[in-house]
Amino acid sequence: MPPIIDKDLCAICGTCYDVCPQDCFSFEGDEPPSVPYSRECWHCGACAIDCPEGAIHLELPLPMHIVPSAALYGPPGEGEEEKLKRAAAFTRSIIKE
Amino acid sequence: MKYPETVEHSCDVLVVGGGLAGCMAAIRAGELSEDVILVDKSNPERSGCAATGIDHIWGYFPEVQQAEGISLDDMVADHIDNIAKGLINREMIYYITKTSLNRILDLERFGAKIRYEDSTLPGRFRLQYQVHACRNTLHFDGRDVKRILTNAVRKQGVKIVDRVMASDLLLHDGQIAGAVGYGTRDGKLHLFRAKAVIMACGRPNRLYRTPSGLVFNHRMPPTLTGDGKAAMFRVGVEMINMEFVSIPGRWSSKNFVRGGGLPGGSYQPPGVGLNGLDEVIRPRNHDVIDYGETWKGTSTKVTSWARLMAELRAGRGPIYADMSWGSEEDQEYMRWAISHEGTGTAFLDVMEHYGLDFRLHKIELFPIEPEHSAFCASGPIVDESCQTNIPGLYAAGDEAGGIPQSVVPGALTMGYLSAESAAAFAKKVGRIPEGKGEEQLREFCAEIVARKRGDSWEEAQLTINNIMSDYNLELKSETMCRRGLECLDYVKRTMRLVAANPHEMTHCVEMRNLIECGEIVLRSTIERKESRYNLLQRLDYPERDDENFFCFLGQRMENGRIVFDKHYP
Ligand SMILES: Cc1cc2nc3c(=O)[nH]c(=O)nc-3n(C[C@H](O)[C@H](O)[C@H](O)COP(=O)(O)OP(=O)(O)OC[C@H]3O[C@@H](n4cnc5c(N)ncnc54)[C@H](O)[C@@H]3O)c2cc1C
Ligand code: SF4
Ligand code: SF4
Repeated sequence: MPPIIDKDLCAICGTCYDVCPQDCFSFEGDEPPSVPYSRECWHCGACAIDCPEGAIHLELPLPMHIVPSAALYGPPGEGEEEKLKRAAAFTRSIIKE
Repeated sequence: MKYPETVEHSCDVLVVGGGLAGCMAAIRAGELSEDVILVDKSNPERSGCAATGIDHIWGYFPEVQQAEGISLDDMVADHIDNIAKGLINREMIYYITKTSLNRILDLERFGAKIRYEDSTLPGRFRLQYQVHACRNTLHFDGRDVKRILTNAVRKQGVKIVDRVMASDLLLHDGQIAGAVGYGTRDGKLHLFRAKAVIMACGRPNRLYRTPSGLVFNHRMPPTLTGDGKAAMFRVGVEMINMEFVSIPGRWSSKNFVRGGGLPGGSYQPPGVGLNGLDEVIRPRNHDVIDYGETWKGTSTKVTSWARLMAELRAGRGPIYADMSWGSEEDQEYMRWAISHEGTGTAFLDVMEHYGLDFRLHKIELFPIEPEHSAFCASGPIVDESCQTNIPGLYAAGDEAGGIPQSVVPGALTMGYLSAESAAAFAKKVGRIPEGKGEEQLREFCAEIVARKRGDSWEEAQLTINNIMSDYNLELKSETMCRRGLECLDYVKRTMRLVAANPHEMTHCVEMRNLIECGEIVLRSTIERKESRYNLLQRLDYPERDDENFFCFLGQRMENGRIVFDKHYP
């Protein structure tokens, strides 16, 4: 199921067929590619990233779904400025004394 | 017998595999040699581990590290002692550490963005703590690094032959003479005659069952099936560390196994690890200090995989990464980070498609498939020039054995070094030798083409996964491994593979290589009569035995017989 091509948007350029590391697509040059090997998709996203028309999106087979679970924290509360500053220093090298 | 059509190519230096190592090798070889060919199973623009990106590269950044009081020797010693636990090719890790920054600067020259205005560090590098005990890991936008490198390969005048899967090597008088591969789309045999060959096909994936049961739901690229290692082994190259397997490889988002750092890794300031009781089991990076720990990188103490597993075993699962905290800027930075590594862009797109949001949802984590991870460092033993025990044959990056956690720096620097060595070797070889070695692959394919009915490659894949998972994971012992070998041998003799087209034939050839790799793994496991950290746990030898096994265990084929040798680093 993974890569879904919107045939109305597809410009029949063949880029997805060119780049797919798993060779999931089939392409003859005269119509939008088909995906005979969608079951072999790695979900790497290369086809969607490189499609010049934004015509591809990925859908997941059921066993790969991310089952939602509510988060605990949400946006930072009052008085957490110091913590935020330290987080930035640690992860983004914004280490102003 | 109907044999596939053969296409001949010839060159001075042949690079097999166009990942980061292979591309870097091709560029450097192109600077030093006339004729260079890069052959890849898929398309180097989006192939291998870095297909849709890498987001960090460790290295020695002199100005930053000196301010921390860390010398080059200190960093090398940290890697040898703390990451590799002493079992490592010392010359090579020194070379990698010393030259990593040079190769990062090459990437910048080719067009990658590596400096950021908001960084207050010298060079405007965004540097982070990762696996070493200092701030030495460049965080950057590497989503399109393979496209950038492939352009540089083309600019250098290197010929790229894509969609050809190399599967055997050609020898002439014990010296390398080229390789032979199967055209994954044209169904032809491609014969590459060369004076020197660099192998860079990455790790052997797809040997074990995946948690979801879906063969291609893998963290590591499922295109990689140990073809390079199998090919080398068949011509007598000595393999080390094949008995090491990380079980599990690591942790990732459950169900959609994400290639790259798990959500909540070192790059996500708002990330915290929770157990099923909503207790914090992995504090935020900057909070670690409040827990009385000295910061020693992301994967130490507080967050080790063993710790997560212990939570599950103690009945306090499941495990979640909760990344809902942090300012809008932090959330933005996190998404920026995720989108540059592995399947991150796809992950974010899929989250949006299914209505998931880091502010609202925590993400469940789960152990991924067992893998020949970067810690295992499995592959041919190489010398300080990247050469294997066969003259003119080199290995680089994940293909080479003996350098744990060398990852991207290893691929870039060894790619470069192997090219210098291979180009120098090729210069000394007069004419391209007329090697032999294509018969096995030719026969293998012809038999399958001739068959009308039989076993699909999917059935073979499932059988191999079952054998490797049943006999070489939790229940590892000499007797179980022997049975595993018996089963693989049975499959080899009994399977009657069929293929309707080149795509399926490619998978059939992969099965041949997976079986070869599986056999090497099982034989080495039997030979290493000890247990060593989480890389090898045997039920019949539960203790570590440094006296006998603080070594690389080399396995090679000599005149049809298996020979083992120990090498002390
Ligand atoms: C998703 C992901 C993200 C990662 N992110 C990072 C990171 O940010 N930083 C970091 O340091 N490390 C990271 N790692 C590890 C790192 O990317 C790898 O160690 C490194 O890229 C290995 O490069 P390589 O060229 O040796 O092998 P690979 O990148 O695996 O390339 C192997 C190449 O060989 C080709 N090939 C395979 N078989 C054949 C054959 N039979 N014939 C011809 N060609 C063949 C493949 O198509 C591929 O192009 C990541 C790993 C993964 C999986
Ligand atoms: S997501 Fe990757 S593997 Fe899947 S079809 Fe697209 S390019 Fe191919
Ligand atoms: S890359 Fe996009 S536009 Fe081009 S063929 Fe594929 S779907 Fe169509």
